[in-house]
Amino acid sequence: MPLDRRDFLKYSALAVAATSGMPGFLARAATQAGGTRTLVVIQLTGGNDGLNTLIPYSNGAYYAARPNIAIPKKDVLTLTPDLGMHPSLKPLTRLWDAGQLAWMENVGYPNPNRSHFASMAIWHTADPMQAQAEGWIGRIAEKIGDPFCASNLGSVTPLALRAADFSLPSIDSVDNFQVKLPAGLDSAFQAMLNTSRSGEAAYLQRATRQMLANTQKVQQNVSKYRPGVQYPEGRFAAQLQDTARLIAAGTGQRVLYLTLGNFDTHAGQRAEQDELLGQLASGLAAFQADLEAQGLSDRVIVMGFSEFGRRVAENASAGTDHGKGSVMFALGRGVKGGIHGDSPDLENLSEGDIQYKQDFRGVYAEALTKWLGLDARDILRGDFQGPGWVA
Amino acid sequence: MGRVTRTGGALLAGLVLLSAPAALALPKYRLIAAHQLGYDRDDPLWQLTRTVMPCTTCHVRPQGGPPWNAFGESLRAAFRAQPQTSFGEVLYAVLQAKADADGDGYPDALEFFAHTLPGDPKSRPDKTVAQLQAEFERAGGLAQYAPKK
Repeated sequence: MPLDRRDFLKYSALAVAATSGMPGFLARAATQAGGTRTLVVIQLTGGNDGLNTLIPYSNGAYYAARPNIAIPKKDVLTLTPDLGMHPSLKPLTRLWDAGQLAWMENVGYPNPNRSHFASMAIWHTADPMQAQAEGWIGRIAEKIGDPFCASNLGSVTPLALRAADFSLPSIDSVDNFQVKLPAGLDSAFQAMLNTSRSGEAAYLQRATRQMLANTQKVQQNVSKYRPGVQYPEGRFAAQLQDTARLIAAGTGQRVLYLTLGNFDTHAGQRAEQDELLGQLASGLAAFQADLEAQGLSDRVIVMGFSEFGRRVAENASAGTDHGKGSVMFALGRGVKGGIHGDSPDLENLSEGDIQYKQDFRGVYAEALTKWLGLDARDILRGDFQGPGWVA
Repeated sequence: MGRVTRTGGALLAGLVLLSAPAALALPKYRLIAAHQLGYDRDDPLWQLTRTVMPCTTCHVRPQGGPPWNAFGESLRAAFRAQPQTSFGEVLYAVLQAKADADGDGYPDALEFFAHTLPGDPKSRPDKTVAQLQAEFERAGGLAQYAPKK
């Protein structure tokens, strides 16, 4: 039996309402239906080094600035006469060849901030002035009135998924997204639910019953999922598989959010970033292949970012320190594959960093308008030109 | 609002939030080193104190950042010599060299064993080198500081 999204939303909303104290808003949510397209956002936490991700291998200044950690030309996965991918990204070459992988160059924002916390908050709120308290995905939920339109795969909801009055849910594990009572408490719990109540107590009792029923329905639908491919080992790949399960189960989220951390490569960067990019690429390649096997690849695109790039020159610990502009990536059948934007000008730096040319809000805007069919101006509170990465 | 309501509210909060352990933001190198050297073994709350594996293990200033002390500089030099090697392996290689970065007479590995600072000559173990070395060997020697899988 397919999941009744409207009921699912209604009952989940009811439960959220009970904890956040805003039933008026959530009552509207029950009537909202989601679209069929999903945006998967990948956050690379710590500041991924864009120059060693999308490598300007024809540029001598790149090798001069990084005598110990540059990717040797012979190892670069050539994409254009000037640019190529890090060798750990090899699992993505099939998507590149199919025109389903896009790289956005020189992405950043005005007055860059080198603090992890401040810069991540800017990307999360889509506000370089840091005047807005809520996240850009949280604002999607507010605008369309759907408190279950997006979820974080992980244990702590990032600022990006927080609205003014509530947070979108975090799902640490799809298998655990259900009620598991300690042994021996079942009958006492049922007795509590069956006791006649009135007023607020009755409201909470009803919401609890409905939440139980709906998490059960989610589990039933998720249990029908059969992976189309073997995913690699590791937490990130497992979260990507959970993402595929949620999409295949038809829970209807418009945005699903994942995080891969530890990109803060101040020392020994090659060992660390090489491994992380390998996790990223092998996980995403499996995810995309799984979506294709499920017949869902037309409905999903992936967009990846990091809070900043890193300095052009390596430091004295064979690593790199916090920089400014960096690269973003996107993949899927709905993506216009290729390189969007110019290669970074390594002869014209800003305090030793790449100068940004593409405001990240323009990249967000295209995801919102062209992919999700939403009003980007309303959600981002401004007009931002994108690089044309959505097909 | 009665007890049932509060219980129900708590239950629903649990259902909605499921599990949300607090994320403690600590520099990752400190986390890796503490685990590799066993500093986290007997104290599950070690991250809450700055006295366990403080930033001054490698840095001059308590808040970290440049400059680095003598032990920090030896790590940096090892990274430059082995730029494709992980932090854990570089740390192990530096300890295997049996150097005494701060010149206080105690090799760096013994200072970690005694929980003193290998880059600060004013931070020295109470025991003699011979006593400490014997205890260190009984505890497993350098092999106990090999990178954890």
